[in-house]
Amino acid sequence: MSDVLTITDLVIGYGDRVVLDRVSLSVPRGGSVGLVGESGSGKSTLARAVLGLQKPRSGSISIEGGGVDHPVQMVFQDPISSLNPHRATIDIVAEPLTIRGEGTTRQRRDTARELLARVGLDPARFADARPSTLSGGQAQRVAIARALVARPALLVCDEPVSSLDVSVQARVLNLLADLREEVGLSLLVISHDLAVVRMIADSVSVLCDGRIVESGETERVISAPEHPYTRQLLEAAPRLPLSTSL
Amino acid sequence: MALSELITPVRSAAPRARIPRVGVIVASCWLVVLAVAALAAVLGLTIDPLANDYATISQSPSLAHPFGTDNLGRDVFSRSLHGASASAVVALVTVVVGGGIGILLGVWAGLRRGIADAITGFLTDVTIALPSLIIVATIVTLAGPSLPTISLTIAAFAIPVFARLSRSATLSIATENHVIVARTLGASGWRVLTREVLPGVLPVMMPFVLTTLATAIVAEGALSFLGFGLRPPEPSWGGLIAEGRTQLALAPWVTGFPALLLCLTILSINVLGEHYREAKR
Amino acid sequence: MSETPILEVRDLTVTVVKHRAERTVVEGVTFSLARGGSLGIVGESGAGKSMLIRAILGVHPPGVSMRVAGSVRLDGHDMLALRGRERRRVLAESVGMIHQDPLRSLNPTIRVGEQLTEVLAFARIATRRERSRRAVELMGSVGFRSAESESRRYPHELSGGQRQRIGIGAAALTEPALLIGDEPTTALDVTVQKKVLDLMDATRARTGSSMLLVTHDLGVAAERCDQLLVMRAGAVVEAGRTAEVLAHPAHQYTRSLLDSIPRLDGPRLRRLRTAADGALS
Repeated sequence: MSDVLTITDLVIGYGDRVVLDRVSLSVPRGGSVGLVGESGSGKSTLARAVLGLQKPRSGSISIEGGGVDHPVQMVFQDPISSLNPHRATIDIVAEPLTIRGEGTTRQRRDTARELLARVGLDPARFADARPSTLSGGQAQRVAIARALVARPALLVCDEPVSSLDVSVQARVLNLLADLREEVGLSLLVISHDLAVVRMIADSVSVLCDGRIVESGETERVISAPEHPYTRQLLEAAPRLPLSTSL
Repeated sequence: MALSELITPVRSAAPRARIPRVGVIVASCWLVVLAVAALAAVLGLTIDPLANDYATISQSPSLAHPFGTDNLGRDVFSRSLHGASASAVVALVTVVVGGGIGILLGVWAGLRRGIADAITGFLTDVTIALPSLIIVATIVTLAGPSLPTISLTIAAFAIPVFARLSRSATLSIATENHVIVARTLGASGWRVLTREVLPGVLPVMMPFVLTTLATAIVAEGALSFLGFGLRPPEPSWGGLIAEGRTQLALAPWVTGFPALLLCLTILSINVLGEHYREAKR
Repeated sequence: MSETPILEVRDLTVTVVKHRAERTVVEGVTFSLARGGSLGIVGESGAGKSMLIRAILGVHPPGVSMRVAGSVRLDGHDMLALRGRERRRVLAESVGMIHQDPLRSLNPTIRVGEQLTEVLAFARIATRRERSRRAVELMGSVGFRSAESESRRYPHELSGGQRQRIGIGAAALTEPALLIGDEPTTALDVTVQKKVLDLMDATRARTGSSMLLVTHDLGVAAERCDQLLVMRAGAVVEAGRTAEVLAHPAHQYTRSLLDSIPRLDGPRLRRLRTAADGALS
């Protein structure tokens, strides 16, 4: 199987309410898939389901490869809340190893330092910092570093840059793009922002009211959308005129 | 014309912060002094609190007897300090045992949810609804009025309130993403509880810990006053106050000083609790 | 039609005093807004956009004091020179404010129809019946199809977009000369955002109001405003006609901001151009 994530006919609901209605999606190994949806579309529920936090009514989710213990890791919309406020950054990043009991304390810290540097945070400056002293962008990088330490088969990013300032967004998106190239990271990026998905995902699925209404190669979906909802999304997105400078 | 204008007057931050600070220093000093003195008394460095001395009945405060003597010639100062140590034991046992069990119970219920949470909630609600003082008095009467019995019974009634508070603190922390992350990383339930949840719950509980200290002291005082606490001649604040009632006209210091100590102690604990709340804001 | 700008801000400097520490949050901001025009104030968090609006309106944030220097002329009035009642009168007549989350400016215990009638009462429309009728009419005009029944709903029963539409309706009720939107669509889905912004445009076309739109979303400002003001760390970095600023940004910051935004048009970029990674954030 060359797919790292395969979701087949997933149905999730509470009582009468159906949140996800026969959703199918797959992420190829080393690939990057985007999921676009507005609030109430069910995208967060899907993320939780992939993480194993939500029991489906029917359908299946299968994940291949990666560390046996942590096949999937997630990067959240609110980066600061995903970090334990009472621990230092280096401990947070080393946590996947600590929980597994891998290596000595020194080895774990060395690995953590390496990863901090890899995500662009100087270990000398950030290793002992507490999450409350970090900015949104820095916290998101720490979260990404920790996710990498867990050596997941798949990284799920749930609105990874929505709460960040524009300039910071760009840096985090660049980081994710770089990691894809260097480590062959497989990504599922969930976002309401089609432009973000365009940048980072090769293919995209559009989620509306719990159903996938369109999916395909990102460039195709954006230039020639087939479903009216996709067209609505594209039409509503504010456009900046293309810069003529530089 | 450009005008430099104050839209609102600058409210000076000073007065608000200063008054509590003096109070906090005084309160802390009082509690420390009291603790040291009570320790000294327990170590036997003061006059034997049970020693009757018919030669010095109902004497007003003097150098030899700073708080005076009662109608049996016993030194009120020493008796008050021994009473302080009794109150301290009750307060600490209540917080450590009652709080310890209550918090663990509440956090566990908050994390587990489902049946465990429902049962815990039910037991908690029932216990809180019970008239605690009366039940404690009954148990103490049946089991005999010893310090361990009194402490543990009062502690038992502190458990449900600690459980409820820590449960609600846990519920809000459990939704924080770092708890979810720990779970996806395969952390055991115990690890999640101690490393992710508890460090967030404990600070929230602190003000309540302080008020519980105060409540336990008052509870013990009330029990002793009503005659359900430590039996005379064992000294306890409530007991001393009760004994002194009959001597109020002749020797008001017998009731007065223990009552004063009680008031100052409760006041000090409350001041510290208030300061903690303000500081955390 | 008067040629004087509806809003003229000169050298506005705002200093915030909190716990005896001072911070300059807006520094020497100068701009003017022509009647009927629209100005987008863009910047990242901490740029001072909200403080700028507060200073113009004279509304200080809770818990801190604000010191404002410079001059603000709104519809000919020197705002910084006006005292409480006078200032409120000018604001009530000339300004309509649209907040980011209208739920916070709506009373959660009162039905929305009734809250609109309150606004109408303030605008001095006499009878209760007339006010109710106007309220329902207003809701219809902002897109509520069964306005009569919707007016009986409570704020939390409506979606974010619906509440915002009411917010716009209420703000435009008195046909103010100036509409101020403070991140009015930030919390909304993109399809809802478009509807809300379209409604704001339509309202402006009807009432002839000028608009001040504060947003961190450069795309929104670019589409809806004919003038742009780019703020950073309290100061104006770039200002001018939107088309001009976007085509030929004079300042490096504006340029890097434009480069940082992922686009739907043009070539697909694998990496976004950001400023040299010196101070990583």
